[in-house]
Amino acid sequence: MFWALIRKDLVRRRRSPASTLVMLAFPFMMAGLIGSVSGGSGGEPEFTLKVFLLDREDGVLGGFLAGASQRRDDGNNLEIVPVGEEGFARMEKGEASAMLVIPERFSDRLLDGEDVALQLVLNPAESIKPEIARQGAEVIATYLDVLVKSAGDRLGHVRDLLDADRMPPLAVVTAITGELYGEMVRAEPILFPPVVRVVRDKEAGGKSEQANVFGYVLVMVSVMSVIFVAIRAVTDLYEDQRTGMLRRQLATPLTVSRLVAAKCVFAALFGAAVMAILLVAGAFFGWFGSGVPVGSVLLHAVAFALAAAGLITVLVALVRTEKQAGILSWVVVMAMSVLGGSMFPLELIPEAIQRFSRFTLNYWAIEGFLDLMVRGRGATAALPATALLTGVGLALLVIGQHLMKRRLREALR
Amino acid sequence: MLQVQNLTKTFGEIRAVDGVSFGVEAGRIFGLLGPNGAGKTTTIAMIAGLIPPASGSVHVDGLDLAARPADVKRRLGVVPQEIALYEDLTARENLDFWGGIYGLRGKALAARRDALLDLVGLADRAREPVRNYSGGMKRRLNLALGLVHKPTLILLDEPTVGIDPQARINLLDVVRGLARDGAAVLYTTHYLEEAENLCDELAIMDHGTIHAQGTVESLKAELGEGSVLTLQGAFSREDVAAAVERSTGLRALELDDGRALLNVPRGRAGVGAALEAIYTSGLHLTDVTVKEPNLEDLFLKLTGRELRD
Ligand SMILES: Nc1ncnc2c1ncn2[C@@H]1O[C@H](COP(=O)(O)OP(=O)(O)OP(=O)(O)O)[C@@H](O)[C@H]1O
Ligand SMILES: [Mg+2]
Repeated sequence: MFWALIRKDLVRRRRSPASTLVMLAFPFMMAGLIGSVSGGSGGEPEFTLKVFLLDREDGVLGGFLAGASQRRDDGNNLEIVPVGEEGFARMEKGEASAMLVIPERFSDRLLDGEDVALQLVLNPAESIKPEIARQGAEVIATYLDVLVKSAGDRLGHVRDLLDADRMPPLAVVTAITGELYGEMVRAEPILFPPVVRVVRDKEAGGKSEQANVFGYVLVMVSVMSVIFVAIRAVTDLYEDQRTGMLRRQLATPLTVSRLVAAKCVFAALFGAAVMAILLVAGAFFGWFGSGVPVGSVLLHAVAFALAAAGLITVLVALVRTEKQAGILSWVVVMAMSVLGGSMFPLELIPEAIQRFSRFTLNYWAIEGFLDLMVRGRGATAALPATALLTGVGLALLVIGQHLMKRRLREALR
Repeated sequence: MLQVQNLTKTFGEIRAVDGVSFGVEAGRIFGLLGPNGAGKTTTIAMIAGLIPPASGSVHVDGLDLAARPADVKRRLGVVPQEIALYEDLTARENLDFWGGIYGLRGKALAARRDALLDLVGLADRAREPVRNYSGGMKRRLNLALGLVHKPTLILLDEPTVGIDPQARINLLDVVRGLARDGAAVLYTTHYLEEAENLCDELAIMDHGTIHAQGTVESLKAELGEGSVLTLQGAFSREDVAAAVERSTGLRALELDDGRALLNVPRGRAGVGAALEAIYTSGLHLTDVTVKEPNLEDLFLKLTGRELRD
């Protein structure tokens, strides 16, 4: 009896898949959009990326990077702070999002064609900014790599010139600069790839084992999809009321409680399924590291979908019409999404506002998923968040069911 | 099978149903005949347990609805006046859903579903979304959905509204078949012919109360043996009452300014004598009809108004 209701809802979703497809596509669109935007120009909040630079070589690259600090009009600032060996200790204290270490004799070895690597220390306490720094470093590495391969000989000249004690003849400098410029223009698409490109290159090579901005954003936005799925499911009850299906169903042995419970169970199952599909697809694109604890992720998804269904049931039962229900739940979802980290990464939200984040479902859902899938904190890392969502979800469901029962009975009179 | 006692329901000032009592036996079709707003749907809603009565009781199979709603509802098949279907699902899927609600599954459900699709003549369109159906097809599916679980008491609320004559004949046949198979059927309508042809027993309802109840024959008998004479013209109620008074055998069924409904006794003198009496009374007449009594006349007699469509 109960399952007939859930089965019916599933079949109906299959019949009218548009909204479900949007819920599935939306996070991917946002991941692509925000993912590329974070690497480039502006999001709304002030975004300052602070990176320590430990230059053990004390050469050209370090000087160049140190000068790259910029304060831009659009509020996205990159702050590169030269540090000494104490940088490691300061990183431990979480003073910057990342620290780039240029090893000794880096430029020379690079120009000599040796295998060299930039070292990057990420701040484990943050999640998206270190990620951006890492991608930035990757861009630099690619840049250098291409530069050396395409213009190696001439770069040798540049080194000679720079190392020379005397001021080099202007003509020579101009000639070399001109040549280099030409090379760079030709190489531009490779040198300044949009972040998307970097990621795609990486996927293709399958080198990266780490999560990236895309995975992060996918988690953020997928959480919204799950809430939208819940809204759609629960407001179905109002549709049933409008079309007479509710009356009809209540003339069977079904009770209002059963109907509402079935709707919530459906919302939870379907929401969890949508979340799972999104995360699996994200993993398929290589947006999450390996070794994701699948069981914990699923559990967390179900807990969250349950909480979302509960919250929406309460909200929808508080108002009188389908339309009001739509508006109220939309407003609440948007507010929760902004505060809870679905719209902007939590770290970008001013601290005064962050205090409210913990009162949103999004916050706990996102933190849990990030711990499990992006930050790689292990299978049990999200348990507190999962437990909290389950508890809150069950409480909301009980309250929501009660309210909804009253609301629907009232409507029948 | 169904016992309704003194059911009452008020909506604010409106006494939608006011002290209604009747019973329906297994294998019988009981008609609730009344115009718009008579209280038919409200009565059905109370029997179906959808709205609690202000007073009165409903028993099905001896079970008190108030005490054991789930047991009672399991025996009920309700076909609502307003068509209620999932339009995005096919007829099959709609039937599967309702069957599932009553715990039907697998082969039993499939067999029942196919039988019903045949019964209401939708088998060839069963895999199409209901959205594509005509109004009449939706009506028929609306009926089928109430029958999935072989209910022993079937409540049909104006199931033939908006379907073509042939489909109506088929549907009425289906209803007869249900009764023949042993179900008790409560059938509401505002179509006289339907009530007259279909129902074993009838209640005439208006303004929330039942004005008369019985078999079609016994109800017609209330109009008296003989024919019904209807007069229309420019006369007052008093004039026509005086004319009836002076005549022999004529009996007033319903008198009004400008209209009168009279009973003409059977017999040799009968209609001729009656017409003569009226004619000589000097009433200004515009229309005179003589016919066998029907329920329309009874309704007019009982409520003082016509049963409109
Ligand atoms: N929910 C309601 N709130 C207020 N009044 C109602 C409600 N439902 C019915 N009524 C009133 O009760 C009376 C009986 O209505 P009901 O629907 O039972 O009539 P009906 O015999 O089914 O009429 P119809 O042939 O039009 O379907 C009407 O006056 C109607 O306006
Ligand atoms: Mg009605």
